[in-house]
Amino acid sequence: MAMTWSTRGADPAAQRGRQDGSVTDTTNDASANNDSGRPPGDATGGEQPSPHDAVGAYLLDALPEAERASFERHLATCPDCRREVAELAPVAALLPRLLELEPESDAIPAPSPDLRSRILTAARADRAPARPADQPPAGVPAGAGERTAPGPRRADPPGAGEVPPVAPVPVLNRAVGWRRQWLAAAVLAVAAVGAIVWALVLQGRLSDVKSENARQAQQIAELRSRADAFGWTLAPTSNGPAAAKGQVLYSLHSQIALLYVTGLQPLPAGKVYQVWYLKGSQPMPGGTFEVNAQGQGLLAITTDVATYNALALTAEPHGGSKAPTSAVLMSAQLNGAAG
Amino acid sequence: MELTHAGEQTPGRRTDEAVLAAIQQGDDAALAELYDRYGRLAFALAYRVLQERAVAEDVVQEAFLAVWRRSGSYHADRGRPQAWLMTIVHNAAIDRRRGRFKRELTDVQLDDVAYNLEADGDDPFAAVAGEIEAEQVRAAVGQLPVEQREAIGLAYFGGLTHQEIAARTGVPLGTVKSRMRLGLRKLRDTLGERGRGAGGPTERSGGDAGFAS
Repeated sequence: MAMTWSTRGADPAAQRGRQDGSVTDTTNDASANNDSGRPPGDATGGEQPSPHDAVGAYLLDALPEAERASFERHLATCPDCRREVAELAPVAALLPRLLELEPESDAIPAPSPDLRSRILTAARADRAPARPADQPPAGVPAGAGERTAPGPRRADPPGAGEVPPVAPVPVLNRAVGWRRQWLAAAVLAVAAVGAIVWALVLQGRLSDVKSENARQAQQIAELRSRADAFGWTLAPTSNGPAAAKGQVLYSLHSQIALLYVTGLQPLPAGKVYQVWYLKGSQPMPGGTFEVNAQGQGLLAITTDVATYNALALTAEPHGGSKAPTSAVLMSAQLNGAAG
Repeated sequence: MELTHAGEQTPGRRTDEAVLAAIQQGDDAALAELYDRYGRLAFALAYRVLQERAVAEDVVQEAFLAVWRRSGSYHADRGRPQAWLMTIVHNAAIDRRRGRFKRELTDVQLDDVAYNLEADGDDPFAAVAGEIEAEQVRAAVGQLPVEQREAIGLAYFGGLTHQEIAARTGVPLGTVKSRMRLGLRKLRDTLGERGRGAGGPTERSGGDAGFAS
């Protein structure tokens, strides 16, 4: 999963910019040369582009200073743009999450260990954090590393608070989103928290995870000791291995459940274990997972487990089935919450 | 059994919103907690944009102090606290980058332990949820047309202005802006229907389908 949005190799001349937003020495695009201070036009010249078009660049911080200010002035008068900003700002804010998947070859160094204490020292010295909204702190001298206008200028475009609320979307608003996805029953398999292991699991290669087992075992131990985890126990049926055990741990806070099983047989290629949710007569298909050589499997569940009566596991063809095609191997009663 | 999102009542980790509320009350331990949750990611973002550790640390410090001072201006329709923080960090990193007149492509000596972003090490549930989200974002970005992905990447992580991207890619300025806007809209559509873009492990293609472009 190499991420190749590298900043290396960028043309230094093309990047030279100034705080006032004018750009000099760009390699070949004359229309980008804003020495005259006129608003920037399209490279094709001629008509003024619509101000709405800049919303993407605005949210990605790709507008030079003068244009950014100009766009924010436009925002104050344009409810459509304000709505679009409200819709798309969370998307832009999700982009840093990509850094969590960096492979180690692209490793980002750790910050200095004393950064944390530097921040806290500076905060304690500035003993006035709670301000009425949008008023700058009075009398605070600019200190090391500070700029004259700190703060989320772009997160607070004028008038954004007046946009009628946009319906929150899954992922973009997790607290509501996870609950919304229950009927979609999107279930992902997770081996451990490490990115490399995650990548292997996503390729369906949990059984390839060897070196991570110690950490995986530790993660599982931590999960089981979480004070806020509710749990249900899975037991093998007469069709399942007698030594198989399982638990569903549910975190109220994160609104996510983890299914952990041990003692299941690794399946031949082309087959996976699948989770089913039972309420009434029709089992709802859940996600699929594999177990490693030790017979351990771990599945992250975002279905609202507790609204079902029971949970079951079967072995299914790769990719899962819409209805169970084989005998139930393990099951858990979910009614009555913690078990 | 109806489940309520009663994070504050649950023993264990409190919500980000609760941490911000405590920051608003002047609780610097809450600021420390916010740093423990997101400081690494904030640094990763700043470092990715600036490519220099010392400057990236300055930016992170600046951003957390901005949160400290302006926590009163945060409210729920600003988005989630993490998103708000990342926006502040990104703004500050881009500002700092634009203020530089000379691009120094220093190769930082990676004498530290490689950064493996396992935030929330003390809360495996949050970590797992985070991993799921991160993977969904990766998958959604991987589904973008390459020109939209490129425009977004050059802007957000490369720190280029739209004029600079136009110059570098030889594409009209209006097209660049449009690609950014369309790309973000497409990401929103994909991420708005979880399970569609990300799929399950058995549907996912392996390797770096994400960004090799």
